[in-house]
Amino acid sequence: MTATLPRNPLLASRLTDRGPSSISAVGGAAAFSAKDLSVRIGNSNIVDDVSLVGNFGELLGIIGPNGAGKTTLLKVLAGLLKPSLGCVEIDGVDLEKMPSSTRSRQLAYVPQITGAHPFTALELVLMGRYPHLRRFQIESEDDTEIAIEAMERMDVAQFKGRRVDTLSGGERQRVLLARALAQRGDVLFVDEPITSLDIKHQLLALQVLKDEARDRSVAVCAVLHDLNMAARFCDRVVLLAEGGMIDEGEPGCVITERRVAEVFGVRARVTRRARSNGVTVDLIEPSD
Amino acid sequence: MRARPRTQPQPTTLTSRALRFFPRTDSAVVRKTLIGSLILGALIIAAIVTAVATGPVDIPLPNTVRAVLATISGESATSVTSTQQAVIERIRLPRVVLALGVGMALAVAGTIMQAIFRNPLADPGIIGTSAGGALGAVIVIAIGLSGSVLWIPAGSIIGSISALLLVFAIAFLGGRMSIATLLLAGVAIGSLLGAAVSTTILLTDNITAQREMFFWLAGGFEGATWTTARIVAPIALFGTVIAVVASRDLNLLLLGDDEARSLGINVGVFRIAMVILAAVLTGIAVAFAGIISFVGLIVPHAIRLVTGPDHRHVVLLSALGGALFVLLADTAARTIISPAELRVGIITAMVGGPAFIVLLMTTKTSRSSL
Repeated sequence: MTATLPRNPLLASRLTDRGPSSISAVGGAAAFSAKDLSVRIGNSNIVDDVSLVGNFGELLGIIGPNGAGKTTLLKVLAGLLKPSLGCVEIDGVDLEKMPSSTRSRQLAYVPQITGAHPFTALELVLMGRYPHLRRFQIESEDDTEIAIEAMERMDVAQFKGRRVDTLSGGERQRVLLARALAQRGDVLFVDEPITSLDIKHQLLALQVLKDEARDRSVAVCAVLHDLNMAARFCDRVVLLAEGGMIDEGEPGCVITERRVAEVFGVRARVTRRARSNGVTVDLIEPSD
Repeated sequence: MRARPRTQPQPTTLTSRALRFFPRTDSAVVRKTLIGSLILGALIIAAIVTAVATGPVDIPLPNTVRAVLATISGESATSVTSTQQAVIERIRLPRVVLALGVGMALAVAGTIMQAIFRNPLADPGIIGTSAGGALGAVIVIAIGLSGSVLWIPAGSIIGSISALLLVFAIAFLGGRMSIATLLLAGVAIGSLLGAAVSTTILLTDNITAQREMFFWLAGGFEGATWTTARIVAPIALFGTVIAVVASRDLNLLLLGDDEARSLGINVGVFRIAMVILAAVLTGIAVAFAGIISFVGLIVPHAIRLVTGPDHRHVVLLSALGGALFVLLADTAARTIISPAELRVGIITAMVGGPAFIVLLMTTKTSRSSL
């Protein structure tokens, strides 16, 4: 039952074409692009006319207050939810016309939390390899190796035999991230990947995502709540409020004292940090 | 440094000890499937021989084997009397085949339902199919249709299909099928049809017909012929094959809709297909054997407790386990108070419940909960 690991031709060609050093794909096809996306549920626009582009090799952050439509936008981008208006293209291909099997090889999606089920951590991470297997193909040693490596990167390899529902929330979140890494997609959508992680693993997880973007030229798009983390790790951020896109650009340009006050309703001191070309945000108090 | 130990000591279980005797394969799924089906297959063969040998007409074991082989190959066996041959060929073998098919169908339907609803309490009848089948059968008996052994199954199948369509219609009301609505509609329709069954029984004046209804509802195989066995067994086998083909996707369904979708399955279409498959298996089992409770609920759990939750071995092993369980229950039902018969449905509930509790208590880490 051993079989060779099916290679993803798309990925292989891209790595040789552009190499890991090319960070932004300006001029080439965007990793994903959304045009005039709206999601209407009932009478309210959860996502309201959003257009954005994500590039290979880039970590894109989506920030915004609760109810801004971040998760909904991410689900639409990942093809899990159909937009009421607008369309999403992945590497130049219309997402709605993409068969779910192709989509699952190209896109990985990490939800905020996984449901209760009886699988072990390794079994769950190995499911990230399912899209690469033929119907009756069983995971090979290579697949297990990829899974274990992903688990090591997220510091969860020690839980491989443990049932996922016996792990803590943060540990579970890291297992899900490991599965997304094992899926080896070209585009990675992660919903609040660090919300329940401790500070060490917050740094570790975002660094891994950033490395994944840089080293494998993956486009990573993450919903984040922590503005400092977003500023520190993201190449670009998109600021959402009430379903609409307020601003988009380098973290230092988007995250300003005025914006934090207007959009989040928080008085804050934003300090530019020359060295890493970023900003730090000191939250003071709710402003109104 | 770490709060938890790096490795968990692996408990030595019967399975892990058995695994050592096997040639090494790198995949636990393959290993568990092979060993599980070998063990269950051997038990099924033993159960078949026992079932065919026992009964009011005593047939010595060697003759039993010869007669069975003769039936399969179509030749006449030496040293087997024609009575023995006839009893085995016309009465006991079709009954065995029917019992195996029904057990297989129910266990696979239960496995599918538990995965679809992500609910350990889901059983084949959870969306009202078996209640519909029961009502159809009871109405046929009440009307007094006779003349063919297929009248009751036909009525039952019509009842099952009607129930399924009704439940689907309710679940699809909002446009897209909601899994919660499907479950609630199924349970509601199920109890409604259950009430209709009770009403039909109460309104039947004819005592014989009433007895026949009770009898049918408790589940049994006394009416088994090659005609019925030849209908049920292929459908059960076919359904099992489809479920095995879909087993990896059933794993993903357990994770939740978004994750399943992002890992490559078309959740909406797949789930409807699986509900229909489970309903067909349930409907066919109910139509030809009445209500046999507990098999579809317990067998998948028992398999999961022993092998873990991966559907790539759970589906096939549940099918074999269900076949074995129902055959043993039927053999017990017709021998315990021989020459009279107990009902199979009673045996499965009486034996299955306690046996499962013992299994739950002796398995240290519960791998069963969904």
